[in-house]
Amino acid sequence: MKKIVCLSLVVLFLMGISSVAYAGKFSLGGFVGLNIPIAQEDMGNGILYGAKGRILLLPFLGVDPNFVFSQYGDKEHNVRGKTETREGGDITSFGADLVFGTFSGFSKVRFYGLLGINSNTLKREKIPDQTRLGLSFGTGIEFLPTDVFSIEVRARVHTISLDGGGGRDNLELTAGLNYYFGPE
Amino acid sequence: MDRKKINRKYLWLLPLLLAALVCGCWLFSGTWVIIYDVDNADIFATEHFYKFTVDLTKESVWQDHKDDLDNIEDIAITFKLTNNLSDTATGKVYVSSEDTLSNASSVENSATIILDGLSVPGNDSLHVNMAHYYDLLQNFETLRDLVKIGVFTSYAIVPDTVNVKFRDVTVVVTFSAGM
Repeated sequence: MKKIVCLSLVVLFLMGISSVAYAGKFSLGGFVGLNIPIAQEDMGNGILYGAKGRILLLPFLGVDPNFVFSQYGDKEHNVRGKTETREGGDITSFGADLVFGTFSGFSKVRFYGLLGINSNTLKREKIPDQTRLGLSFGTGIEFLPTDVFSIEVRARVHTISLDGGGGRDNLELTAGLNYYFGPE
Repeated sequence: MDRKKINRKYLWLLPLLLAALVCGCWLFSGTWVIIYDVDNADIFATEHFYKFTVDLTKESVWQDHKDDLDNIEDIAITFKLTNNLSDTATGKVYVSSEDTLSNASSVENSATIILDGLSVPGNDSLHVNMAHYYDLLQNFETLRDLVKIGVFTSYAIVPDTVNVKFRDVTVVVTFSAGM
C-alpha cells in the first residue's frame, strides 16, 4: 500500500512539474484550522496547521501537494463519578489533492472541489504508531484581492484507514494565505 | 463537440470517482467507547491473588456493532488498591483468555503481564487512574487481541504477605467498527 501511495505522489509531482513548464503558474501557502473527528467517541476537537502548494495544470484543474499536522483534542470519560482524561494524539500527513474548478486569471473568487491521497502517521500515547493511507475530499473558496496573494477557506473530509480495518474520519476546516508565482 | 472530445475532457474524473468509492468504505466507520464497571462482588480474592472476568459481549454497544467490529483501538483499566498493613505492598496485573488459573504461579506461567511496578505504601491506598495505568502499561498488542474476543480474565498478584484490597475496577474499551 505504501508503494502505491508513494507512486501516486511521484506521478502527481511529475504531473505538476510538467505543468509548471507548460503554464508557469504556481502558489505556496500556509493554513490553520480546526480538526473535528467524525463519529469518534474517543477523540475531541483539535487544531491543525500545514503548508501547501498549488500547481495549475489546466484552466480547470490543479494539484495541491500538502503537509498537514493535526491534533486530536483530549477526551474526558466519566469513570465511577470521576473525570478521567485520555490524551487525543496527533496525525502527521503528507500528500496531494487534485483541485477542480475555474482557475482562469480573470476571476477574483474561485470555487473549487478537491480530492486527494495522502500518507498519514497516527500517534497516541502507549499505542503503536500507524502509518496509513488516507483519502480526502472537500470544497474551498479562494479570494484574490491582488494578482499574487489569495485568501482561502476550505472544508475537507480526511479519511484514514486503520490497521485491522475501519478508519478514522475527520472534518478539517481551515483558512490560509497563498502567494502566486509565475506569469499570468 | 464530438463524443471523443467529451470523453477525454472528463477522463480525469474516473480516478477521482474510484478514490471516492474507496473513501466511502472508511467514511462509514466510527469508534465507540464502553465503560465497564466490575462489581466488587465479582472480584475473586485470596491473600495474594485476585481475579475478575470482563464480558463485553453483554454490553449493548458491543452487541450493536459486533458484526462490523474492526479493531480494538484503546484499553484502559482503572482500580483502587488499599493496603491495610504497615509494610509497602507491590503488585502486578495480568490478562488471559483462560478464567481457570487458580494461583500465582499458573498466572505467571500462562497469562500476559500488562502492569508491573504497582506499589502501595503501608496503611495507604493507591488509585490507579488512566494516566497512571498508561505509565505502567506493557504488552498492549496482546491485550488488544484478548479484548477483541470480547471476554477476558484479569489477574492481580500481590506477592508479599500483606492485607490488600483490590476494588472499584473499571475497564474503558474503545473499538472501531463499521456503521
